[in-house]
Parts: sequence; C-alpha cells; structure tokens
Amino acid sequence: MKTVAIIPAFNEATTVRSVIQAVRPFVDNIIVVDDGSSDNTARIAEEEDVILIKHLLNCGLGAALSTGLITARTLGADAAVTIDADGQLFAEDIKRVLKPLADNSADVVIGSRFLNNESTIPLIRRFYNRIGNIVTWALFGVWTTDSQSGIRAFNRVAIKSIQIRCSRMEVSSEFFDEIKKKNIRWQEVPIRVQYTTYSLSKGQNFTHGVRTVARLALRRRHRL
Amino acid sequence: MIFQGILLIVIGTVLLTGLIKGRGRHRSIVVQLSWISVWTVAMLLVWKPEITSRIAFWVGIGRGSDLVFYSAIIILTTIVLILLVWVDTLDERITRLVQDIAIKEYDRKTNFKGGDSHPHI
Repeated sequence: MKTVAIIPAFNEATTVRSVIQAVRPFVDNIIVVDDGSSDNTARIAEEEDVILIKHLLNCGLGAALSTGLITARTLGADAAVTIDADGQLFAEDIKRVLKPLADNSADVVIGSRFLNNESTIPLIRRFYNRIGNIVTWALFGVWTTDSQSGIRAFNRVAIKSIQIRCSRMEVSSEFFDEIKKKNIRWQEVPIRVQYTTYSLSKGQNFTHGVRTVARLALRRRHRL
Repeated sequence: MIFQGILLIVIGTVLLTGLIKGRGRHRSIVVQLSWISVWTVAMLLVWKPEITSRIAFWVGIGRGSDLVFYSAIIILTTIVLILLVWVDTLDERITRLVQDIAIKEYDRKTNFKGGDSHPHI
C-alpha cells in the first residue's frame, strides 16, 4: 500500500523538521504544504527529502489540506494521512489510523484525542472541541468525539471523492459533511496527544472559534 | 429645512448618477426601474416626513423616526451579510488560484502532473 503523509505547515520552523523525521518511518512519501509561511518553514522542509508545495499566500489549513490531497491523488497514493506540523501529535499513531484502511473496514479514519486520554487535555481545549462537535452535529448531522482532530487517514476512494471547499480551520468539520454526503465509511481510533507551550499558542481561541462557526454556517448556506 | 434640502440634493445626485452609470453598463429595465423607485421613495420620505409617521402608526411602531431607525438596521444588516458572502466567495477564488499556482510551480520544477487534477478550477 503506497502511503503518503500530508503535513500542512504555516510558520512551523520550530517543529517541522522533527515532525518530518518522526513521520518518515511510517509512510512512503511526505508532502509538506507550506501555507505562505514568513519564517524558514519551506527552507527547512526543502532540506528534508519531501515533496514541498508552496502556497504564495497564507490561505489556511483547509486550503493546505486540499492541496495535499490533490497532490496525493496525482501521486496515485493508496492512502494519505494528514498530520499537524506543530509536534502535538505522535507519529506512531499513523499506524493506528492506517490499520482500519488496511483491513478495509473504513475509508476514512479520524484519530480521536478524546477516546481514552481526555484527562491530559486542557479544560479550555476540551470545551472548544465539545462546541466544535456540537456545531458539526447540528450543521452536518454527524456525531464525532473529535471534530478538530489533527490526524486523519484516507484511502484511495476517499482521496478521490472528498472535495474540500473551506479554506480555513472549519475544514475539520467539513470532512464530516463530505463523509455524510458521499456515504463514506468512517471510524474513530484513539490517539495520544502532548501539549506544549508552543502547540498551545498555535491552536484555536474564542475569536477563531466564532469565525469558524460563521464560516461553517456560510458553507451550509452555499450547500442549500 | 436646510438638512432636508441637503439630503434631497444628495439623494437626487445618487439617483441620477446610478441612472447614467446604469445606461452605460446596459442594466436591464427592471434594475433601472427598481433603482428609480427606491430613491424616489427615499426623496418622498425626506420631503414629507409625516408619511413615515403614518406608516409607523400602521405597523404599530410609535414614531416615524423609529420606523426609519429600525428599517435602517434591517437594510444595513442585509448589506453586511451580502458583503460577507461576497468576501467569502472572493476568498475561495483566491485560494483556488494560490493552490493552482503552487501545484503548477511544483509541476514546472519536477515534471509532476499535478496541475491537471484540480477539481475546482
């Protein structure tokens, strides 16, 4: 099974190298999408043996993931795993999200931080995620334990059929809209997470959350 | 009276400018008539403010000025929403453009055929 990792990166010079090196043993190719970084993210990625795609402007997480999936499709990948570049996730969990694809029991696998180790997650993160889960359910009718997951796996069917339109953080919920609309088989598997001062500074806050919900509502309006 | 006069001149100018521009851009007769209607009603309400009081009484709002205030809130909110959708659409187009350039640039450097597979462009 030809597997690629997609790493969307925006100003992640501090962590991108270690994430690439950690991911490498678990996949055949690595696609780094530099989303208009103003630091050395692209240069560092270029020094590693990866496929580097550079956005001229910062378009957001959704756009970077979309570019990564298009590239994976063109490479003819059998499976693609998306993983955040902030070093918050464990690369070893790639094996866990790939297993249901290898068993052919799912087309999309979401790594959930909330299935077995919720206590290690800061309260405010749990709160934002719970709100995200409720909004995802209310807008798209899919219940998930981790609507904002940073690690997901897609098989060839999903890589071909999922089309991302949201360009920013709301993409995390949009995946569930696509899963429901296209009747894609999906599963959640537990993953681990480590919070550092750096990764906490990169995540969602209240203003981002409000903007994300507004954009999701707009997407729903477009769909109607 | 001075304020009324200034407002009438401003509205009249907006009405005429829109009509002249509309002719130049070959706008449909329906759009032109709507433009004339909206601004003529606005001029009428400025010229005879007591009309707003009558409408306000009819719809159950105390004063004519309150009716103007509430209507302005509804109209401005609608305009903001339309602009938000417009900005969102523009953002989506720019994103597709940036993605296409990124994939084509990689394609150019490596003879990779990524640019042909974009589903949205």
